[in-house]
Amino acid sequence: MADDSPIASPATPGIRLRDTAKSYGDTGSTVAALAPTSLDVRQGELLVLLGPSGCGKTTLLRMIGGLIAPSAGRIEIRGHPLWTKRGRNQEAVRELGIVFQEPNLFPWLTVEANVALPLEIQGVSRAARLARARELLRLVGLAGFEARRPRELSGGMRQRAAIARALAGNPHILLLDEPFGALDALTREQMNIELQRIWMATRQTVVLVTHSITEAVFLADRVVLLSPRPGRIDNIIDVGFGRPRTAELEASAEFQSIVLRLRQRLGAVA
Amino acid sequence: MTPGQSARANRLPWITTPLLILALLLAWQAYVRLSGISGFVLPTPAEVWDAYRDELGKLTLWRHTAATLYETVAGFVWATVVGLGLGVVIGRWRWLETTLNPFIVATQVVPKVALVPLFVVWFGFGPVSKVLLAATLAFFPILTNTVLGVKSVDLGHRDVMVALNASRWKVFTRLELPSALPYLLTGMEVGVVLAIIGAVVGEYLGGNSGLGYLLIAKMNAYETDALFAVIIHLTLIGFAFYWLMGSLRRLLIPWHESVLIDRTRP
Repeated sequence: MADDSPIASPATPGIRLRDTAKSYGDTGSTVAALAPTSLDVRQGELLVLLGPSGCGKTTLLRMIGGLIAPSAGRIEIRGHPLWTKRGRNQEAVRELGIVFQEPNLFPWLTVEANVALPLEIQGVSRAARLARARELLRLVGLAGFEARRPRELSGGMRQRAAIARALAGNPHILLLDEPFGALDALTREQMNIELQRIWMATRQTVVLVTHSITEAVFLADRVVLLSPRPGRIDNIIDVGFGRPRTAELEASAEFQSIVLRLRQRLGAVA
Repeated sequence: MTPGQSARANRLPWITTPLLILALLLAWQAYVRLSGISGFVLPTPAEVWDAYRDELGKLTLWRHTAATLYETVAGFVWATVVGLGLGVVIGRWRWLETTLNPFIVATQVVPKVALVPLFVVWFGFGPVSKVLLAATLAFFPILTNTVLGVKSVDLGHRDVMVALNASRWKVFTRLELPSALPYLLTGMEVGVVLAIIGAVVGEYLGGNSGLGYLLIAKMNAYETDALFAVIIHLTLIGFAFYWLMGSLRRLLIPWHESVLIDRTRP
């Protein structure tokens, strides 16, 4: 990714959390979803948030994405505070692309119009945004499906289109919230390999939420293990395998030992 | 189902439906002939057909048809414009719905036909009072369906727009309106039929034009066969509106389940 923003030197973290916390409910009877959390996500890093349900991983991701406001603490996106006194900071939001659990494609738009939606909202001309959409559809392996409607695609293809849409605005940071959770195991493995390929082509800062340990170890530069009630960081594990990682890697003893370590840790915290 | 079977299932209604109509007409004809019932009470289908052909040749029928069509369409358009506009506003702001709800329910539960004398007092026996009745009847389903449509916008879709930092206007035009469109069209489908009813009932009660007026005139003249003819005429108009709304649906929301299901159904 070209670094065109003067404020973000390579040393600036892609995402910086400082005592970021989230609690729900009225004063007096609040439920803490996420305890005060501090974390730096390096630029160009693929970071995975792993944890059992109720550990606040989706809450954390939605806060980083600016969809919900933290109850306390700071969030910075490439040096820009995400929230200011006047609400969400446009400059920070522009750096973000989000892929949700569901593809959330608009059924009335063609696949290419869905992918071009972020650019349409930014006011990019029709020709330019459709050219970009086609380029992205090639990147995610959906060339030839431009004029189809989302319902004509399989689950995996829809999620590919959703990834293409998240990339359309050329964000520096890509956030993925259990993007392959609804897919069958086989498709899911393929999508992990695809995601790695796309990430190696774009080298964005990526934060991915999952509850699959193998998915986490396969994709991550670092795995952040979260523990529940309230959500907090339990452990951060470096995963040093070279890339591109292949399906064979998953069978290796080294891979399995990291998986086992995480599984034991998860068993202890869940 | 094999392709051969489904093709047969597709063709089947083109044979069975006319056959059924023919059987019903024959039974009707036979009943009148055998029972010796008076033509003033129940004419034969053949007599009705003659009367209808007769009416179709007269300018009067077309003049009355034009009046009813005008009242129906004008009332329907007003109901759609006001229902859509108000529906979008109410669906968007919850407090407005809470505030206006008693009034909306009141307009729903009042027997709208009871308003006709009032409309006549205010607007006379001309077309305005009929347009108003047609609009009043068609308004409610259009309003409630629009409100429902705006409220049923998928939360995941909303997240997408929030994440994209879309302006209020973009959210409305790119998300809320297309999401609500199938609901609006459902409301319009119900509404257009009610608009016809409004126009015809309005014509019963005042004035000297429209198919409702013609029905009353035929009744008073004991021309039962012509009365049947006008009913058939109105039914055909109803079919035409129904078909138009279906076409509008296929044109505007070809992506929606309601259209796709119809396309694949035998």
